[in-house]
Amino acid sequence: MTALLSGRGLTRMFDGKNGCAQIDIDLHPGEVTCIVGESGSGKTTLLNLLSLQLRPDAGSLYYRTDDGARIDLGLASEIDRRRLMRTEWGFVRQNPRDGLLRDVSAGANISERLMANGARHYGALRDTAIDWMRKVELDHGRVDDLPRDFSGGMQQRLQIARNLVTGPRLLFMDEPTAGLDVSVQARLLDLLRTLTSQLGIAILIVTHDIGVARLLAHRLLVMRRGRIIETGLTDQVLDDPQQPYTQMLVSSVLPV
Amino acid sequence: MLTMQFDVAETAGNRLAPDVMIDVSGLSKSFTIHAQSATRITALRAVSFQLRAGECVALTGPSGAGKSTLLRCIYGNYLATCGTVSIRDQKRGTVTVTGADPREIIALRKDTIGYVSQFLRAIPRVGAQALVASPLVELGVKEAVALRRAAELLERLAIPQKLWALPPATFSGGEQQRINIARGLIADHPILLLDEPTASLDAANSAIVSELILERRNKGTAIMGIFHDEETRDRVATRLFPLQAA
Repeated sequence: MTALLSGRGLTRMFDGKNGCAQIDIDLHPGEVTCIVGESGSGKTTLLNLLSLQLRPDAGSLYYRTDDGARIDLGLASEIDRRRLMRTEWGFVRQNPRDGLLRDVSAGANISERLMANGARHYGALRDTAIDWMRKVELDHGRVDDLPRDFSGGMQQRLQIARNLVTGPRLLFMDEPTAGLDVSVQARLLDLLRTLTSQLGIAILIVTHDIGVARLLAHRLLVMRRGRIIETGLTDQVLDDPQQPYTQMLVSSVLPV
Repeated sequence: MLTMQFDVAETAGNRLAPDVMIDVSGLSKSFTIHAQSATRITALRAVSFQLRAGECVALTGPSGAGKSTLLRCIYGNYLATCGTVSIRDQKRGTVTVTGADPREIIALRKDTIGYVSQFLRAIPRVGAQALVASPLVELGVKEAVALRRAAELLERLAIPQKLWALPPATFSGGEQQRINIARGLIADHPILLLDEPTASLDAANSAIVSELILERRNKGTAIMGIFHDEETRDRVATRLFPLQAA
């Protein structure tokens, strides 16, 4: 298979009940996968397992490297895991405060990952930061402002720029539009839609917003009680849901 | 040697006759509605047919006969309960939609199947012209070229130019439907599925849409549609395929 990241039998339980169990999942380049499910369904646990922020109790995680080799991430050294997370992967957090450095400028936030990978030329770093501010529709005249001087929606776009600057192959997003005003949400969704179709990277988004999933995702996974209960092409799962829970979930969405 | 024979036999079994674009065989679809003590509704029962290049088949039958359901099963939007749907694809040969991976269906929609649904699904912040152009852009056509082609279609469908830059969410029903038609036609897909493309159009606009459909048919596109408006149906269809309530 051509999957970039594959999980097999991934299990992590807390207190023997919450968590996720026996998850098989494949993330492909150029494909946006959304995990939907209610609070406590295990979707965040799964996200954390896949993004190496949690170790599984059982199961394996395989990654296809640039040269086509398949590596078992459970056996990879901590150095290798950290290098992956810093260069080839990105992680956009629900709350931009958790994903940004609060005491350095917008520009420094964007170039931090480049510097961590050895880039040192100040002028080039600044140019790259300005270029990315433009791409995420932020006023590049504000490159020296601190994150707290930006609105919530702008901070979220800053966080996205900060993650994409190293040209990652895989991007994880945890509820990227939660807590934003609808007009700000629309702008962010538009940006994400454009970037995902241009970049051809694999993206995993955890969301409880079916509208976000319908707009962005190619493939949908529905989680409940720690298991994937339904999966398929996004519009098929939403228009012809098979499981009782998925039918309930879809019929609970307010029509516009 | 044994493997080779097996491969040949299997391929031959799957291959469609040269001009067959869609093969539907023994297709049934039922819905189980779990909220209503697992009520089972059968929409299609053992439907079989073939659609060839240059044909326009009109699905007929009363409401609830499963006409839209059939189109959606072909498009991969509904899961078939049993039976198969096979599609001829220029790049991949014969693709079986039933049981296909989401990626295969996405590829099929990009390259081969155009679908005009009854309602437009607008995308926040995306203007009408860009929305119409996007299936071509996805095929790798340069944005400027795709936008020009979109402009031609919008002009032909009599959408006022001052609307082109606006997101169509606030357009009238008839305008949204014409945007949807332009979007469905722009990529010149070899297969077109049309779900009541003229439902909310006046006579003049229906005539324009019929003309566009006929042009496609004459170019060899395989078309299957639902046309409640008899005048449109008589103009575009080469044959009728009646469905009875299952």
